[in-house]
Formats: sequence, structure tokens, C-alpha cells
Amino acid sequence: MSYTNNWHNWRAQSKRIFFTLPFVFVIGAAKAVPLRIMLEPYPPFAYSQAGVLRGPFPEVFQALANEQGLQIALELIPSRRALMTLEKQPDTCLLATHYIPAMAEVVLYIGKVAPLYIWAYSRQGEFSHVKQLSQLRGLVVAGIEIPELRDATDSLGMRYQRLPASRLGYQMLMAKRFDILLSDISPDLLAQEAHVGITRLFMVTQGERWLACQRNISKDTIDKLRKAMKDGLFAESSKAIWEKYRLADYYLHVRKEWLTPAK
Amino acid sequence: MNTLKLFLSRSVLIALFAWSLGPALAADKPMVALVFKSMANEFFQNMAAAAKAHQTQNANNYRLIVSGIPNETDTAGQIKLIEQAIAAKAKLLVLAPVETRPLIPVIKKALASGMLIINIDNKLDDRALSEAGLNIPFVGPSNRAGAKLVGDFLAQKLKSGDEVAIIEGISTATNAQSRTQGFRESMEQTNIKVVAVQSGLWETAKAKEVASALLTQYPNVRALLCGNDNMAIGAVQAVESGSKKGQILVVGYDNIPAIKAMLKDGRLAATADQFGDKQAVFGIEMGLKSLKDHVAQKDLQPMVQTPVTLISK
Repeated sequence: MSYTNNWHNWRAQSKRIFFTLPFVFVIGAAKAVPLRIMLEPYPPFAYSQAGVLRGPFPEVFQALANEQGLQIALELIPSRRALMTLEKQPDTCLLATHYIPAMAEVVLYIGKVAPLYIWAYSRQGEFSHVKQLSQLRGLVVAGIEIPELRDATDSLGMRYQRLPASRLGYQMLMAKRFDILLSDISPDLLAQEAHVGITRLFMVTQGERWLACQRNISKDTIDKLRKAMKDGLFAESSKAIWEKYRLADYYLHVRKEWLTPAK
Repeated sequence: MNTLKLFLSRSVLIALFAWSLGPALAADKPMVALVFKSMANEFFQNMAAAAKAHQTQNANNYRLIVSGIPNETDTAGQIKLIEQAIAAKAKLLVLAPVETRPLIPVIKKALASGMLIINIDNKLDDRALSEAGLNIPFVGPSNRAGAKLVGDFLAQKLKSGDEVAIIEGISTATNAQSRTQGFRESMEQTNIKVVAVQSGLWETAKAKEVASALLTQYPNVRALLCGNDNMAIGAVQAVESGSKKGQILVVGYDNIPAIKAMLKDGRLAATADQFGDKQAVFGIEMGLKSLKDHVAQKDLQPMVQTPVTLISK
């Protein structure tokens, strides 16, 4: 009986929300509250410098959102906290997040924004014979906490130490905290930050980074965001921003290898 | 006498008129196609019964065809059922999909025929929907939240450092992954080790086989967390036929009638009820309202969340 009551309460509440939401949107539009866009620190694509949010991801997103007439407020925030916020707080989105099936039932994945290549890395000259995931058995392995990687390792019955953030991985690898790092940032990109002495062994898996939004976001905003993210964060109009960050080669590579086949 | 003759002749005329109008009225009522996964699963049988009862109460508003496939993995069979719904000129498809990518072409075909589509039970994969440029609303619960309720309850009966294994549904299905994630989160929070995750394909026989193998391979396992009740029944059978009867905790998901006795005598520790019967009805109601209001598929609200609760007795 209590379940039935729960259900009826839920339905009554849903109806109230259904009929109230249009008014909320009208009031919201009148106040022009900017859409809150969270993203996790992800150098060299998104980082804080002297307290200022920098990197091609936030800058390109800002430009593309403005083109669609969207007012946004960008904010750098750790991914776990961002996911919790996203589930509950209206008018909130998370930029460049991983696709998490368990979250797909509670948030909206609006569109792909960037590719995700996960590689196995070792310290230079070590474990160079390792060419596939199954050869990692018996080694101490650490990796970032993302579903694509967990799926790949689960299917082989492999376990690995989970790292809270990919940016910490290289330092820990160089400090010999583990033998192999499974991560999604190419050391080529990080060479400028003196992350040398690392060897890329093989690609473990690949996927995408997404723009995800709270589930009650208005249909009009969803449409505008989808238009803005048509070419992810690699739209033709964003070339100058990528060049400014000296990542023009990466931008061109992604447009050629990731964006073109998807069209 | 003349009055009686006049009354009778008028009555006959009215009856004839009503009879001639009958088929036209029936044709005006939209046809709703409810396409499930396995009809061998009590969870979907309950959904179907609730939907039929709803249609009987609303017989003037819509017609209903209910269909399902013989097992949880028959994607080709489900594609045929959707084709049949298109051929029957259904106006609304309420779909509990087996998986996503193989269904995309037939979903596109159904939409092109003018049908509205509502997704229930297992959420279609956003990645595939995004690639195809489709908006298919999902009416359903957070399976992760439901599994976490069950996992948290189980964790109270275990201690830090204990080992458990997860028997999940079809590994590519969103709801299977979500339930596994919910179980994992509960176990990680209490420092309980998940030593294996293997698929039981949602089915009892397969889950029994997987559970037996897991209990042999990992003799220290203290509990089996199953992605649905049918697999939990298989796990219970495996425990009872092995040497660890009464020592392994088993939990499930769905709260189907077949597990009531197991919950009562403790062979099953807990399950989650996500009100499956109401999910189908709510999907139908949402679709009918959208048809009535002429809301286009692309303009449907993408997500409507429904409740889920823990059942431990």
C-alpha cells in the first residue's frame, strides 16, 4: 500500500512539475540566469592560471555557446563533485565528461565534444615488450577511473589501482608508485610541461568526452547546445583559439581523424 | 402500436448507424504497440498485465498490441516486432529495448512512419541516439540508485574486507551497467572487495551456471549480487546445490512474484522494486498525451524519472 502511495505522490508531483515548468522557464528566461557549465581540471585543455580559467576547452565552448545566444558561466570543479551537482542542480551542465552508463538514466548526454584515447604508458625503456592489455598481468597497474577502461579490464578479469585524476598519474609513474599507467592524456601534449621519460606502449581503448546536462534543462537550451556542439570543441571557427594555445596540430589531427568520419 | 413501430424502426436505424460507424470509430483510436524483452520474465508479464488492464479501462481512447521476445537476447526478434508495429500502423511505440545500436535503423523507420516512440525499462544508449540525431524519451528509474539501495542493505550484513561477486545482465545494456555500478558503489564505500563481475544474460539457467563457477573459483565469496531476480533465482539454486548452502548471501533486482518465498525464508536477502507495471502505463499515458497535443518526437521531454524502492522482506 505504501508503494502505491509513493507512486501516486510521485505522479502528483510529476504533474505539478509538468505544469509548473513552463512558468519556471518563462521566469528563468526573464531573469536570464546564465547556464552553469562545470568542467574538471584537464591540462592542457582546461586549467586554472592565477585563478583564471584557461585552456581551449572553456574558451571554445564560450565562443560557440555565445554564437547560439546562450549565456553561460564556466567553473572549474573536480569531476566527482561535478557529477553530484549535475544530478541535482537545475540549469547545470558538465563539459568534457566521460560517458557513464549509470549516469545516463539521470542526466542528459547532449553531444560528443572531444575524443578520448586511452594509452598504456611506462617509464622510458621499461616493459617495452608489452603490447596488449593481457600482458599487464603480474605488473602493478594504475589508471584513471573511467568506464571505458573498467570495461576493458573487467572483460579480462584484471584489476588496477584507480587514480582520482589523470593529471596526477605521470608524477606517480615517475615516482615508481606503479609499473604501468593507463591514462587518457598523450605525453606529446604534455611535453611542454617536462613530462619526459615516458613511453607510450599501446592504445588500450578509445571513446569520447561529452557535454552532459541536468535532466530538466529546457528543450530550447538543449537544441542550442546541440547546435553549438555539432563539431564538438573543434569547430572551424575555433581554430584561432587552438592556435593561441599552441595546440593547432592537435586540433587539425582531431578534425581529420575524429570529426570527419563522424560527419 | 404506431408509436411502438416508430420507436422500433428508429431504434433499428440508430443501431445500424452505430454499427456502420463502429469500425470508423475504432480506426480513429490510436494503436499503441508495447514491445518488451523476454515474455518469459515475470517482470515483463506484470508490465503487460498492467498495460492491458489500463487499455480495458480506457478502451475508448486507444487500442493496444503487446508483444515480446522469447528470451532476453533476441535482438532480431525484437526488430521484427517493431516492423510488425509499423505494418499495423501503430501511432505509438512503447519500447523496452534489448540493446541500442542494432535497433537504430528500425527505430528510424518507425519514426519515419509517423509513430511516436517512448523508451521504458532499459535506456537506449545516448551515444547511439546522439550519432543518429534522435530524441527518444526515457521513462524509468535510476537503476544505479535502486542497486545502491540493495547494495547498502547487503553491506550491513557483511564486514570490511569481505569478498563478493556481481552477476550482471547483458553487459552492453545500460540498465545492466547501471545496476552493476550501484552495487560497486555500495561495496566500495564499505571496503568490500568485488572479486568478479560476470554476465548471467538476465536468465536463470545461465546465472546458475555462472554462480556455480564463481563459487568454485572464488571460495571466499560471501555474497552474490545479481542484476535481476531471475538471475538471483539461478544464484540461489547454485548455492543450494553446492557445499555452501546457507553461507552465501544473494540479492536481486525487480521484486518479481517468484522471489516472494525466497525473501520470506531468507534465501534471498533483498531486491529492488521499480514499479515495472506502472512504468509501462506511464509510458503509454505520456505517449497518448503527446499524440493528443500533437507534440513532435523531437520536442518530447527527454527524461521522466520514476521511483525505485528497497524490498527486504
